[in-house]
Amino acid sequence: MGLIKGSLALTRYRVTQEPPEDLSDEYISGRLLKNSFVDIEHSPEEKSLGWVEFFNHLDAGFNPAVYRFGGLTAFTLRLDTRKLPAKTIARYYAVREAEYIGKLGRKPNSLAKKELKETVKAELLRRALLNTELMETVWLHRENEVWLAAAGETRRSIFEELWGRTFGLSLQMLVPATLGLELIAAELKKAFLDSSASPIWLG
Amino acid sequence: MNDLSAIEPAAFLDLWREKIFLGQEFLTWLWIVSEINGNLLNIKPQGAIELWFESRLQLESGEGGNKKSVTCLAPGAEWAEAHTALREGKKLTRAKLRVRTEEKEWSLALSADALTPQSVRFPKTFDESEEEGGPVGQFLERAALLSELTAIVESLFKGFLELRLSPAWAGTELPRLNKWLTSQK
Repeated sequence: MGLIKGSLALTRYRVTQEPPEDLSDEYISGRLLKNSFVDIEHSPEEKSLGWVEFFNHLDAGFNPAVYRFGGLTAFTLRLDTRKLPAKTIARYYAVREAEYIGKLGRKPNSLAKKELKETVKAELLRRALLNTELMETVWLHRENEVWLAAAGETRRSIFEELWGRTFGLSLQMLVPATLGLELIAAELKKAFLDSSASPIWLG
Repeated sequence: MNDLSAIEPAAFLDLWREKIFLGQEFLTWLWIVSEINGNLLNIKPQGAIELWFESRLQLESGEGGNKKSVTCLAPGAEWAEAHTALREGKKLTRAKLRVRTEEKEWSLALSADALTPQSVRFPKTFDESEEEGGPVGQFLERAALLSELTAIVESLFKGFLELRLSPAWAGTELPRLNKWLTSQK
């Protein structure tokens, strides 16, 4: 949702580190592939974070034709997570522990308890439904700007982690302070940095 | 690269928090100026635009435990409440507004802490149901429209900052805003 259709939430970033001069297909494809989304539908993983194609969230082939659109590069962050309520784990663990006692005639020691818990968790994770979160990302090369079609601290942190891991290029979020510093003339910067809040209503 | 590369992450957070007041003063200024000018504004380099605050004006004063806020949902009686809130020293922290150029109209929300357009509704320049140009065509058109909108917000903010950081802010602009606010009693 957002950059393709529907109402848009947005975070803007400036890429503050010099990217490779030509931003070649080899560079972008290689980094996206290395950090592409890995499907955990049939495995007991709790979380998978990576890139998928902009228009096909089931694919992560990253042929340049699927991410290059003129001066823009577009791809989508995909985060799949499974959550298990602690009460559910405890209930299934109790069943397993009873089976263990019935079989061996004694309570499991701490090591056996840990193993039982891990087995229960893995079994439940395999059966738990995945929650998928998608965040469209657009890199405007000429402007050294990145758009994230999402807002909020948690989502920004997830994106910043994946971006950093993928491209290793520093980002600066555009907010009044950073945007202001970019927009004003050099001679106003000191006044900008020294400025403090003043009332609008003087009555 | 640019000036921003010199700002360390920890310093960025401090600077962000420290300058949020500029976002609040900008939104407050923009609302009053749009009211004074009958929603017509001239900005560089875009020229004449129409801009009006549509709904959900959120005003705040104070910080932390002393924070007081009021939300005014729609024009009319509730705008009068917002004027009163301004006269109590509150400033705008969030609002839904519309921006119109000669051919296009956007709906958006702006928050003082980021000044990045949110909840953006784009101009109807294509029929989404018919998927004119396919999804790629729609995306490229949306990207162009978003660039245009962010450029308008930047021009407005730049104009505000140039005024805010000049002697004219205290000398002429604040008295002009106050005169108007007094007339709304």
